[in-house]
Amino acid sequence: MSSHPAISELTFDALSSEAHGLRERLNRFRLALGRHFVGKQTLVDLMTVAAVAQEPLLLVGPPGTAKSDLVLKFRDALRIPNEDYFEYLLTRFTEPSEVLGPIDINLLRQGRYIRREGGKLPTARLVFLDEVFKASSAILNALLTVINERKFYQDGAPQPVKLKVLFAATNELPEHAELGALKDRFCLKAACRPVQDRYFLELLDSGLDSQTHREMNQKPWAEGHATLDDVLKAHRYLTLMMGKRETGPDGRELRDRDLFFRDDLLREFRRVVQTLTREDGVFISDRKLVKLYRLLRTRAWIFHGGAVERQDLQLLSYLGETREEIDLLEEKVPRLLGLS
Amino acid sequence: MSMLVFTSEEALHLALTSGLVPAEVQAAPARYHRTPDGALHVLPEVMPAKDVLAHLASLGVQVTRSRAMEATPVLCWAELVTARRVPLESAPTGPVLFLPPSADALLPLAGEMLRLGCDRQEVCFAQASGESGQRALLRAMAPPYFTLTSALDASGPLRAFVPAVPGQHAVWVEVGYTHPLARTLHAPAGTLLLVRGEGPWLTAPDGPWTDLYQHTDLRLPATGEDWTPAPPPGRLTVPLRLTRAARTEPASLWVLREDALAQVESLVHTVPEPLLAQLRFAVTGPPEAPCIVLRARAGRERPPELGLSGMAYAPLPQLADLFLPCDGLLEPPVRRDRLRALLVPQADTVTWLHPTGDGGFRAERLPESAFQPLDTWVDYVVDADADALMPWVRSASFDFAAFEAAEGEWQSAARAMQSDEEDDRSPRATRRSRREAPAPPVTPASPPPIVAVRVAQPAPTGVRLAPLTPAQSSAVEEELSSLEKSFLALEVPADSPQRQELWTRMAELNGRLGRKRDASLCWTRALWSASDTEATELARRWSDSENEGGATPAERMASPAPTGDDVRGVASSLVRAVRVPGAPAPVDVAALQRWLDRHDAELDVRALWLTRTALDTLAGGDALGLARAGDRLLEMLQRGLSLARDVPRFLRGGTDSAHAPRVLAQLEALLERFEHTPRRRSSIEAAPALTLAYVRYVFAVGLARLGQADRARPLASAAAEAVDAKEAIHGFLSRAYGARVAQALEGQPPETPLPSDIAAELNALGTFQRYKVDRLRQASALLEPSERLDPARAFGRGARDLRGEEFAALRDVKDPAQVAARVEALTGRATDATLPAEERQRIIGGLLDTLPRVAPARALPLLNRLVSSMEALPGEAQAVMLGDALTLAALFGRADHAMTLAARLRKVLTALAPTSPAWGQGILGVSLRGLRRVGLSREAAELVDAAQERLTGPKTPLTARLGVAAGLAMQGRTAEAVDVFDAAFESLGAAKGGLPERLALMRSLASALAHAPVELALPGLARISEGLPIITDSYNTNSHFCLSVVELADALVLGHVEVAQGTGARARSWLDEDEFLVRRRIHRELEERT
Ligand SMILES: Nc1ncnc2c1ncn2[C@@H]1O[C@H](COP(=O)(O)OP(=O)(O)O)[C@@H](O)[C@H]1O
Ligand SMILES: [Mg+2]
Repeated sequence: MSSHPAISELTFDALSSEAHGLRERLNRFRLALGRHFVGKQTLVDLMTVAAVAQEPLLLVGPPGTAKSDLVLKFRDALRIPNEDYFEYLLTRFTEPSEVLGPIDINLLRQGRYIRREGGKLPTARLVFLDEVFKASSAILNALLTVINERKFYQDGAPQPVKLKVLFAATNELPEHAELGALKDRFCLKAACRPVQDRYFLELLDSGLDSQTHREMNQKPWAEGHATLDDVLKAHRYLTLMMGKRETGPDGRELRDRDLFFRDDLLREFRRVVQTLTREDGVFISDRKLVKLYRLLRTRAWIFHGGAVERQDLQLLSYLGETREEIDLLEEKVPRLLGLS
Repeated sequence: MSMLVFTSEEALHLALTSGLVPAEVQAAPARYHRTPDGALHVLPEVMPAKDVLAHLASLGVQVTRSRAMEATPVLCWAELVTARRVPLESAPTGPVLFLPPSADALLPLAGEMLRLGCDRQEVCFAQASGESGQRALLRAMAPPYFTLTSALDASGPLRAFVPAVPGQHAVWVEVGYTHPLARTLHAPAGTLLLVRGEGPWLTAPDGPWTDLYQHTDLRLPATGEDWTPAPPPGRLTVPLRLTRAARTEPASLWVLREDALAQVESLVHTVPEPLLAQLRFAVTGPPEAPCIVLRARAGRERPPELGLSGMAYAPLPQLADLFLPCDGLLEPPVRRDRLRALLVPQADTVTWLHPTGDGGFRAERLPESAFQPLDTWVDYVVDADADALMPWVRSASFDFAAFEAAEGEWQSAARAMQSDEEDDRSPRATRRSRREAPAPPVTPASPPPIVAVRVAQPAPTGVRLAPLTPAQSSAVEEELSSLEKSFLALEVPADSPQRQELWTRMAELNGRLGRKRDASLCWTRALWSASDTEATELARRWSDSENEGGATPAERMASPAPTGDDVRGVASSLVRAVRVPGAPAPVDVAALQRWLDRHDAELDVRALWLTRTALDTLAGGDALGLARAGDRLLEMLQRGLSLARDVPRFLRGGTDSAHAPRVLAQLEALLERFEHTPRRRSSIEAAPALTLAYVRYVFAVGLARLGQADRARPLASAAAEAVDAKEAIHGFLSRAYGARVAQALEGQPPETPLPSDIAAELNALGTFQRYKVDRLRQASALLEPSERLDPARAFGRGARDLRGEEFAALRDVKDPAQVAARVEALTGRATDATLPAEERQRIIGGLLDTLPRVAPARALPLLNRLVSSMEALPGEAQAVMLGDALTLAALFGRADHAMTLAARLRKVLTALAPTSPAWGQGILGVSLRGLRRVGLSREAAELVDAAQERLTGPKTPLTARLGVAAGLAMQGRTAEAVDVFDAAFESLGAAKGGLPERLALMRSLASALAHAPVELALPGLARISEGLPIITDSYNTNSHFCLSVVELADALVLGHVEVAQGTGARARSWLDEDEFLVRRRIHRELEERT
């Protein structure tokens, strides 16, 4: 774990020299991982983008569509050690202590309410919460703060969590007001669909392979193309880059978008958002808009190393809030952009 | 050259619209300059005439010599007026003119629109005069919003325009803008005028327009291929089979082949007559072994469960005269018209498919006319004569018209039909008509007179020996109950002398039966409307009966724990003392008053008032005491008469003792249904045991309301055992339901608030817990009968009271004077004219809820002020508030106010859209009840009529119509209500809409049905409960219970309770009238005496 402080102290210049290599590794990683699934490359890509941008991603789909498997293999492929990973299947009976760590009884006797967080969510850097909306209200509330502020409360005092990447899965998207807040925290929501209609035989082959590997305790998808550190470095690199201010040839200060987001694409970005808001009543908060910018930039960097391109705007397909919206947007956004 | 100086754009605008600047001057080009202070210097190309200039000058428009300055040219003066931005809410459905920055940009633009499905595009190319070279215009019908967003982006290069006036295509205004003068503009013929939002206006030639496709070459990925038709290689053979499958249609046709006659005989012996009346029968086969076909009449009643051993059939939903075995379906599914032609070729026949094993079947049919009502077949005779009659069957019968529908048959028939249909299309040559004529139906013979035997009444069995003492008592009882019946049957007003007489008789009989409380209730009723002389006599008799063989008033008052009998004894003596000259009067009036203050909660409203007016008289006038008593009484009446306290037993729950057992039996059966019905459950549904606990609580409260202590208590404790009372939510709910059971068993009115210690627990719950609890409180009217809750909104705002913190705080204020003062202050705020409407609505709503806490004398003027400040609020809000106000007016006993409010409400309701959610809020029911309480039954009828008229359209939501149906049923207009009930059942049957809507519908239906006569209400409620198997939900309340199931239970149980408590519209409306009598006298005497 000696590497974390190192990453958070790396300078932009140091990272720049590494940037090319980082990109190559991340791209090899996502393409290689995609090959271990059938028809899930888009989701693997999306997970990679979300991980680098450190935005939580919600996978929505019926059971048995490889939601858990995607995350598991993602983790294996990045060779994330146990102490950095936490995964939990939530039910409404799940106790906060199962996720946040048990209360320390000795300290409680002294009147202090402290959780022993080791091995639980607060100490993990990659977290996977399965059936996230089934959680009880206590957990949901804690999750809100974790996602929002990367903190959780110990004995009333905020305590930072190590969480960097959060994936969550759910079978259904409940439409209750009280879950709305948590749903909103997931800027990206992607449908995980059955693929048997399109890839019947391929699915059988891949499933059999998986089964064999599991029984032989092999993990051929852990190919070691990239590591979690690469993901974190890429994040830091992009953050530093987006925060940079350069001066143009005319002496004017250049913003990130002057360099990496062409005017006509910004216009397209805006048009899609306007159309979704007006025509389909999709709610896109101001906060989300900023996050989207960062996500678009992240995708562009990973995929082609430079400015945002039209195809990157496909990310806007993942803004749906309900099952219906998710389905609608995945069809509509590419159509609007002329990418389908 | 002259220049006109307008001080501002408004001044110019005015000069243009008022015609001060002549049209020909306006229409000509000009040049202008805008000064920093907003003045406009205009250099017209066509100079106005002298007199015009003079006129303009007189209005402050300076005419000066033009100075050298930079002036912008405009096409006409209107261009000087700036356009305003307006948001574009949705894409226009008419034509839109696009002006791309250059002709090159046209193609991508057109391509995008084509891609998004807009292909009505025309283009016009023109050579622009300036340096821009080729320009192009594109006119598209109903372009996609996405494309318009491009034009809305002011910094982008694309501009789009819509017609200034819909329908004309010469003057166009830029999308996202309006121009105040656009409608007045004209463009020269053959020219388009484009009014831009910012920047100079443009003109362009209007055409030539060519269709986009003329400029488009569509390329196919491959050349086309011509196919030639060939005859089908052969016929397809599809065997039609009868397979086993679960169906939901209940059996409505039975074919009895063995022991048919005996079965029917046993049926008519055991099935109630109304059920028999639903059945029709036909006899067929040989007389020695007849086959009998029974059929339930189609109609709104569900067919009866007959438990016959014959084959049971149900109609195919899509083909009502084709019956399949209840557990059978045809495979493969075939279109209705094909089925009809194949299996029911003749109209007016009834066909059923008799299974012959292995999927084969035989279609058997009888003519419709062969069926006769079953009850005409039955002669009711008493047992004694039974031997004399022998059942016999007339030999006239029918043979089944039958044909096997094995594979061959179906094939041929299907083929015949197919060729019929495809006559025009398929080549004649392939058509082979090999269809067998279906066997003709047998004509019915004369009606088969069949006699069955049935015992109508028990035959007299010798002399009856009356046992001695009980006989007398029962004679009294019998007399009493016949009096009670005739009381209910009377068609005269509540205060008529006939009723007076009956009350006196019933009082005496109750007294003799030792039912002192009921006796007292009858006496005070007799006294209530009596004339002075009568009253004196009645007061004497009441007091005699209360004090018969008992202690003296002084002794009673000395008792450390006086009973109800004691208090009534004292009260009646007091009334007598005032009425009867020379009767012993109490010595210490003040002591008596104090004693009564402590104990008079035992008295019913009438006795209480009689006592208080008597005290007033004794004290020689005690206006304050009387006013206080009046306030107290009206507060007690807030929820109407208390059944337990104010109403004699025969008018109370299970009012009509004939129906009570039926209601209870059905409730028990219903509980069993909830306990044992397997339901489809959502993946996160709560454990059934938890849900069942709450269902049991609901039933416990219902049974408690019906006085069934020995059922309610064990049910409640079974429920309590199933939940963890230490957990916050279960704990609260468990205690709350428990309290409701206890309250109901004590006979407290349902609207009684929860005991304050339990209610206080609510505030201690966390927001999320509170939300879950509130969801159940909202869904269970048995738990929370009076509060209007909106948990989701409350949760969203983290609010303690949705009406606002003022009202949450008011709840904590105990001192009435303080409450009144705060309410007055809030009324001042609500009626402040500068208050925004929304805020006003919020405060008025909260105040209407709070006003009952204020003494009527103070509350009424406030109510008036509030009502008059509602005027400007939206109709829906007004309707709800007027309903509440009306209830208040009725509560204060003010018929005059109620009448005015009813008229206003009627007006507001007639203006409401039938789809308005306000209809579903029970305004009608609340208002009707209010109106009847103050004796305004005509107004009530008018209100129902108005609502009914408004809500007849096909779009009217059923819940709204059910509200009216409830009103109709309340008024005894059952026939009109039934249609709505039917429609509701139909909608439920069709399983339309989501579960929440269906549940809401079930609830409205149950509560509307509860007002209908028992014979309609009970089967109706039972039928609603048939929806149970599909009730489930995935709300987050599943951590503790499945809300929807509990809600259904609540709706059904409440329906039963209401049916039982108000059996017979008469008894119920009687209660309202009775309450009116109480209020009328209290108000009269309050006015006379204070
Ligand atoms: N598209 C797919 N490609 C490869 N394997 C798949 C795919 N869909 C499902 N599977 C396999 O099906 C199994 C079930 O997946 P799982 O991740 O448990 O589903 P979920 O979490 O969505 O319920 C896994 O073994 C997975 O490998
Ligand atoms: Mg899973």
